[in-house]
Amino acid sequence: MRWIASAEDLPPGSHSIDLYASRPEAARHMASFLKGAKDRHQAAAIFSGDDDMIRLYREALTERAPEMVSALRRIQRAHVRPTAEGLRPIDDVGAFASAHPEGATMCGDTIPSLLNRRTLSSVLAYEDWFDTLRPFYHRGLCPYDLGSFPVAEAPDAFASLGQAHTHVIFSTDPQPASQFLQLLVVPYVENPPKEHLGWLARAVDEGLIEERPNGETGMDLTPRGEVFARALKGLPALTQPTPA
Amino acid sequence: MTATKRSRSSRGGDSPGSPPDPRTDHRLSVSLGKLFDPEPNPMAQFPGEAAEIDGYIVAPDQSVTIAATAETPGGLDMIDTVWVELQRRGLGRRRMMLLDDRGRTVSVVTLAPPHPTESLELLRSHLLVPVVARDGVAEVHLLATRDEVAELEGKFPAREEPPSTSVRSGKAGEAGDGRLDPEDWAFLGLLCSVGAFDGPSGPSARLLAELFGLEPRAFVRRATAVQQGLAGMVRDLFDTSQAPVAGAAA
Repeated sequence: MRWIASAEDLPPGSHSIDLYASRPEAARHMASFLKGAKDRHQAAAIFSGDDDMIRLYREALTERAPEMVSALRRIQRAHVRPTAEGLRPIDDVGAFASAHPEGATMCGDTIPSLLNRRTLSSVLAYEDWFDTLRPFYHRGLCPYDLGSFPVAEAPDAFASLGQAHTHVIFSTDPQPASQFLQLLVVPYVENPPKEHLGWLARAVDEGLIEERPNGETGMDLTPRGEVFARALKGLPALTQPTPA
Repeated sequence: MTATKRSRSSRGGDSPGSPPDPRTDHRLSVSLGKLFDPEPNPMAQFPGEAAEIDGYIVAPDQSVTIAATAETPGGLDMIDTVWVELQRRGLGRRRMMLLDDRGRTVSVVTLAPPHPTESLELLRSHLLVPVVARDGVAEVHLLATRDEVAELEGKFPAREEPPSTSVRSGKAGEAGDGRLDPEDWAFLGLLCSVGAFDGPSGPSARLLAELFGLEPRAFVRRATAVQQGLAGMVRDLFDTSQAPVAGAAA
């Protein structure tokens, strides 16, 4: 898996993880993704069930690529549905992909809204299945909200996601919980940003992250690292003054 | 009790003219039988079963609230049995059980003072969580000087164990240096266990304060102090003014 700084530069044939820490950041990444479609003269469709995200996408596209607003498609719920074989794209998504064998830029942004500890294995299986469709000429983006990602399961999940994707876009939002959690992705990246390698090394030095046993690729959260990650997200809510 | 010393160190009990005695990680196996003397150790009824203490807090009245999770199928029965014994001795004040986000049963128990041993006071500054209790023995990680370990060795029988990497202190915190000390980590571990970081569905600060025997404002002050320690760790972790690690890829 290769790191890429901007979704705009994702090439045809790519299946990329998009890590974000806030909804505005997700919208900026999406606008860059669609700018890349425009530059490549590729058909594009973004399937979203969230009116607020669609509004944010429109705002982000205003400066980057206003003509790509037409790629935004409102769907009722998720862009995937359960089947006997596992999660699969809904008919609208499948039809769009089939209509563009020359390659299209596509994204369904609904995974973060349905991702939790119980659904994680289904989502990972879906990603594994999707990657079996390659090689293709499409550009595919898979957004993941670091703020709601299950912390305890993150090491194994990122190991799986790292194998099922060709590229990763890191969050650049300074939100510390997200910055820390995404360090677990670094071992699966061929060309990680230098800063991320340094931060990962410091996290190991602090006893927050450790190498996997038996020479296995990847990193794990230590018990302290898991507490650290969860506290970064949840402690601020407990420090508000309590009403008298 | 024999300590296995690790390489991480911090300021410790140095005095002029004496060899340095820095605080380092020590892994100790401590027999818990003495806690229940002269009665038999109730854990002896559960060979092979294990429980983990994930965190604790000491309230102003010196009561201690501990979060314990069963690590094996019979571990919950073991926790139950120990609780019954502590109650019988008049030490068990309150117990609450909840399911954590992994579906495990967490026992949150509050022990009334006096504690089973005054050594708990010694442990507060040195004990690193989690602590795993198995077969009547606790695997205890301490951030302590040799002298401090020796002082604790006098109070519990123990045996030597090989080094472990499961618990590391990282860059050790000292009281007042803005970093997290062992008791801060124990507080965070306790909050994690009771679902305090689970978002809107988790317990409120007011409920947690009541559970831990704190005034609400005192709880907020404690949480705020720990949050500042976390912020310090974050600054150190992501300090871009420091040079990249040697050998890092371009």
